[in-house]
Amino acid sequence: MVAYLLARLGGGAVSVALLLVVVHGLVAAAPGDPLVALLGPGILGLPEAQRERMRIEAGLDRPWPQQAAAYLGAVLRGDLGTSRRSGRPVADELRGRLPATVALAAAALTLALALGLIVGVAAAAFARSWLDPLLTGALLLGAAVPVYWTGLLLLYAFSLALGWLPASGGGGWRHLLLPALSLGLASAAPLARVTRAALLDALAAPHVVAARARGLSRPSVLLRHGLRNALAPVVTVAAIDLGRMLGGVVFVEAVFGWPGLGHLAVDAILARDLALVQGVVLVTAVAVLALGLLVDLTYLRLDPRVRYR
Amino acid sequence: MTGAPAARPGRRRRLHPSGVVGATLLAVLLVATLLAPWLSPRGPTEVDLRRRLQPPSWNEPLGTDELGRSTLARALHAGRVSLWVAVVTVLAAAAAGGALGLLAGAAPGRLDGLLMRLVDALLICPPLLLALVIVGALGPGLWPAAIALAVAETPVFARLVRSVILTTRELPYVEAAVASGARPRRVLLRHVLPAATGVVVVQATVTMGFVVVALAGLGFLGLGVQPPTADWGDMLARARHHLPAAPWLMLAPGAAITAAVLGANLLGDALRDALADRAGAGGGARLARRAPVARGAGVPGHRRPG
Repeated sequence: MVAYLLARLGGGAVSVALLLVVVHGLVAAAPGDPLVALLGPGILGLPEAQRERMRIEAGLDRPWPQQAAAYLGAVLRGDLGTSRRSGRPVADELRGRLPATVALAAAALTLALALGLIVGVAAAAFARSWLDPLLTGALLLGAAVPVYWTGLLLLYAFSLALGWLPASGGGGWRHLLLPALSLGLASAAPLARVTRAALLDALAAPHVVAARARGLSRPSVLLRHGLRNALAPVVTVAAIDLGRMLGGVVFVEAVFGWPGLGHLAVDAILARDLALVQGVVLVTAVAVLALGLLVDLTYLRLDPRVRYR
Repeated sequence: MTGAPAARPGRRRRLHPSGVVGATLLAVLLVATLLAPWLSPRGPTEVDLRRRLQPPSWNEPLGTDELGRSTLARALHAGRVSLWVAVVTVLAAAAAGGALGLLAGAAPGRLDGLLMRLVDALLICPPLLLALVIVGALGPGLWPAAIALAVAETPVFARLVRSVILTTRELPYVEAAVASGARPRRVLLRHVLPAATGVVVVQATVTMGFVVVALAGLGFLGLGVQPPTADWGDMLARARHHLPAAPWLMLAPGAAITAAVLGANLLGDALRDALADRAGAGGGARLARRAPVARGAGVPGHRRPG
């Protein structure tokens, strides 16, 4: 188990390093003077000799592999560079924004899981009634609505028309509710579809028929014998969804002015603040890997047959 | 219009009706955007400051924006750009990813290992973030956004094609082709690669929906199509600014994106089911059914039933 964990962590570290090198390469290959990209167009007014000195200081006179290696080395020492936009260390910028995004993602995932499980179980429980096609259709539609449009519709309904919740900005749970709901609704639809399919599969198993035959109540059969065995695929989809949700965070934070990492990434890109962009990629990649590991460990609890070596 | 014929004996018609609905939805959208110049009341960039932020009316079925431009004309012309660019983007990602997957699947172990490490590294970054980084490097615009999304989706296709090639290579009919003296190149391109067509088409259909959303999303953030060219995302960003006064502005672009994604998802799901049926009936490609598999379950020695 320990060896397995170490191997996973090692493999993950190699992947993150590779990703950072690729992103660094993409940025280096971008058209235009990298020094301008690093320090802003303001330096074009400086004399040539001074610019050359800055170029050497920034290490931009060296070949790209050396630059990439130097960047990776700095990241390993915990130095993510300096944000051009604010002049502050990238690590500080990220640390300032991370809690808001973690809160948003956690709230959204909780909502998505609750809603997805309830709707999925309902659709499976009423699989032979008029309710199932209705729910399935709603889920198909729900999965197709882009998250930023959901955001705009909720924004209009709950903060502009009804005036119940604030429209924009960060703060307490009242600010969090609408962004989390937009993001959660987008993820709930695929979760509910998987829950329904997995539960229907599980309910067809012989032990479920046996449980019914023994006279157990319907809810008990559905939840204890069906859902218990349907949870593994649901967790897998939840994890994949979380990755996609982290992408959607960018849009939701833009709609609601939520001061998180997604907002930071867009601001950084608009300002061509590339050190900051790379920082956001690093944090996201580590988060995705950590979630993947968490999911695999969850299987241990959900399915006693699973063993990791 | 001819309805779908009843299942003919002897030949299997496997596309679920929902797939037909999806295909129709996509076709209607594509045709409507092609006919945009004839369906629009005015040009999409025609400004009329006397008619700003007007609600829907007989002349302007979807109202006008803050510059008095026709929302109907802009929604139609935006689709004309977005949908076709999305098609090109998906084709490019499928071609590039397919080539990479073919190379990795056919190459000796070391190159394969290297390529797949790279693909796995790219896959831990959400496609949208990867696209954002590339747009950041290239600068905003329609084609930078399209290139970024194509690159961001390429790893998915590479993994998919490689996995099909690795499983197909072991099938008896490929062995028969080798035994009958076909050269490796011919075996790979004529016998093994076609087995990947089905899964690639399914993946491309589903990816199409994602690309439409992401392309409009980049426009929404100001990183995609640049004004004054009409774009669904840009229309939504403007609608947000005028939300209290003109809520109708956000309806058309949002509904258009939703319809495109719904069409792509319905068609993709139906194609996947049809393909799985064919494989189940003893057809060529051996496919993984839709049930998700534990991460890393394919790695030997990784997971052991106790």
